[in-house]
Amino acid sequence: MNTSINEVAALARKAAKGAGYSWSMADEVAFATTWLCRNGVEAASMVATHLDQISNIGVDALKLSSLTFPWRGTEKGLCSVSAGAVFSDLATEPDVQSTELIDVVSPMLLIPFVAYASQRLVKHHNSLTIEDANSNKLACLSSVNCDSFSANIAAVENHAWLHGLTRHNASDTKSELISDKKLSAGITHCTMKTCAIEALNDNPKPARHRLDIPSDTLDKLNHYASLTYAPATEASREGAGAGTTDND
Amino acid sequence: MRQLTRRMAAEQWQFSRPHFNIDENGVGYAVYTAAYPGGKASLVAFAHDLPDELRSDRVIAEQWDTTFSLFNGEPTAEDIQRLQNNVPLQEAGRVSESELTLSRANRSVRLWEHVVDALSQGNQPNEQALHDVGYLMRTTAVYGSGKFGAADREQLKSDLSNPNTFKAPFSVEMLTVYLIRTFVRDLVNHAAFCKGRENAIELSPDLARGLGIGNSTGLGMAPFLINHPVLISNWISAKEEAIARVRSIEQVTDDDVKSVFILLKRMQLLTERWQSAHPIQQKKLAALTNDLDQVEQYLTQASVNTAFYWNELTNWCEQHLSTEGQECMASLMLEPYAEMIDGLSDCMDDPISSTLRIDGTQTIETTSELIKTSFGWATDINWASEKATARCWYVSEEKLEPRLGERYEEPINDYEQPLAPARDAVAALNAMQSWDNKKRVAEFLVVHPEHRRTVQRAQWSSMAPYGEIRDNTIDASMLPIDLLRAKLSFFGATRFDPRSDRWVRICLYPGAPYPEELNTDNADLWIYPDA
Repeated sequence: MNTSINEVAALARKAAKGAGYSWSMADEVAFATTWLCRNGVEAASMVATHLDQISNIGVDALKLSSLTFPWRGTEKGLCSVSAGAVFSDLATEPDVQSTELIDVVSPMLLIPFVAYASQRLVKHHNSLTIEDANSNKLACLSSVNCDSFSANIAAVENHAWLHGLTRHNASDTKSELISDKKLSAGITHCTMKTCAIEALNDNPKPARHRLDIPSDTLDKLNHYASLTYAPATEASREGAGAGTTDND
Repeated sequence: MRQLTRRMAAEQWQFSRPHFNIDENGVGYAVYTAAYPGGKASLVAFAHDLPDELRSDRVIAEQWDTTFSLFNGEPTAEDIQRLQNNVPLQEAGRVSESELTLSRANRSVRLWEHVVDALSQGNQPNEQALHDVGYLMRTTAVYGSGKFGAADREQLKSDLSNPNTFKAPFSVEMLTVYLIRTFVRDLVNHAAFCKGRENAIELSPDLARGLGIGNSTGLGMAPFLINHPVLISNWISAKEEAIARVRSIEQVTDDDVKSVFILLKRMQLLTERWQSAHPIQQKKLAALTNDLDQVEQYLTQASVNTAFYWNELTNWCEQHLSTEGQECMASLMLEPYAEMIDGLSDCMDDPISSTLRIDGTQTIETTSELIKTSFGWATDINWASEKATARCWYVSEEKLEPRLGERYEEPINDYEQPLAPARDAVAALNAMQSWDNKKRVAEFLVVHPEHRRTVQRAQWSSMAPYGEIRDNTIDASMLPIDLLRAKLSFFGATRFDPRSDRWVRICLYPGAPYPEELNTDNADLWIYPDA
């Protein structure tokens, strides 16, 4: 189904709550979904897969346990949304600018938080990379074209260059370093760290406004979202509206 | 509404009706196109033959007298066919990125039949009957911003051919309703012609102008107010800034005061026509009527040479009038000063809240102070009492619409929507108490991610001082209609008429010039009826 990004984000938010996140963390899932979709990534399916894991394993088992390095959850893994949210909270702090993560579940969902962090680091002339255990770059996020820290998200979406994650960058040689497969599947070890700003792409794509959601993804997200809906009762029907006819 | 009519007049928008294919039974479609600098938008309207028993004012209805979509550009025959297959279904259909809104309206059966009967027999309808109802049709939803597949606001704003046309929040929704009103006037004339043929006449322009479009609004609007604190704060800040500017005028002119006096008389007429069957609103209307009489005396007696005339008036209103009267005068006294305040309408968008995430380096102490600034009052509430948490906002499985239930009487607690920021703020403050308040709030949030919303809102509040409702949105005595009115008032809605404690009717565009009569002279003050 072809949808607006707002629609996908609203659905992802409800689905995240239905799968077990708090509403606060569901907001973060919606943020990540919006960012990826606006950058041309079909994030709905990634989110649906991620929510399966959250639903199966439990939010608390995957939650970032503390700020002690390296960041980890439990033996079940580390939720990328949980880690990403905290990473963006502390983006300007020197101590998190080289952050190792262990056993990240759905690492693609880290990207929006790292992109936001990179935007906040612009004034320090830094961008952020995500590297695997062998120092291979998985993603590089930079927002050099943003004029200031207060540049709005539309600017970030236009200028945070996301390599190896979207097909339109495939011709970029640097993207060979990056494995989107690894980011989608889950990784055992990665590090988010600052690097000197690199102008990786001179032709950033404009933000996207539409997304085609595969029907199985839509079904799954609708299923999780439906867990937030209260079953209808007589009392609830009576509570909706003033009356049943509009003939006056 | 007035921002839009001013813009349309100033930019000389051109309106046309490329299609009006409605049959003898009132079934068919019509297209109304508004051409603005840089683009076009078209209302695609479908008229249906709806049996009376299916006419419901609730958002959960499934059929309507008329259904609409605002199309970005001019629709082709294929577009109209596609919309024909989807728009009449409303929520059950899908629209596309070419559409900006989705809406529907039902007749006021009583008034519709009277007007059609009268016109078909060559008579104008009874003026009092028109005033009593105020509209021929009322909408029950005007969906925008990406709902049901439509273009979202970000797409709209990124359209570089008209970066400012629809920058103001809800401007596409307001344009939709403006064009619906034109269609409804044409439709009633058409119905009268089909019935009376050579005997029929058209509704006179003066009577038509007095009619608006009604709107029935329920709980769906209330969550918006809570979920968009920065936007709402920007709306209220614009109003407050306008009031502050006018209060700071040291010397007013005779003309300024005279123009407010004339508008006061028109406001008295509006109040006279404003009816409600709801006891609370009746009481408020009686107080407002009395207030306006008092203001009339005040204006007659006060010297124009009084320093800071409007400031003095405001202080006097605070001492002598009900809240209704005070708010009314706070709006009326702004009217002579368009040049001083109209620019504030550009500050009513919210371009930043989606870009500003939590600053986790803030200390817990600073964050908790920010929370207390908005919600300090809520720490005095006994949140363990059933009264304080009696209500619960939830979404029903049946129709996916927001509802408000009784937490301790219905099985809804597990499905609660996050619409009680005051309760959540106190919970966050309590959780912070055992923490070293010099620590970074990010450390607190690692352990308590469920409080991220409260922390985010608190940080926004430092730049959005009016963003939080200073009341308990789940209290047993909470009246949702007050939330609805707050939002509707910024649209410029009039004749606020609660139908219950959670359902209201209002009127949009009564008195507004129709497209063919719109000009810069009549684009602004039409909201005040002329005797």
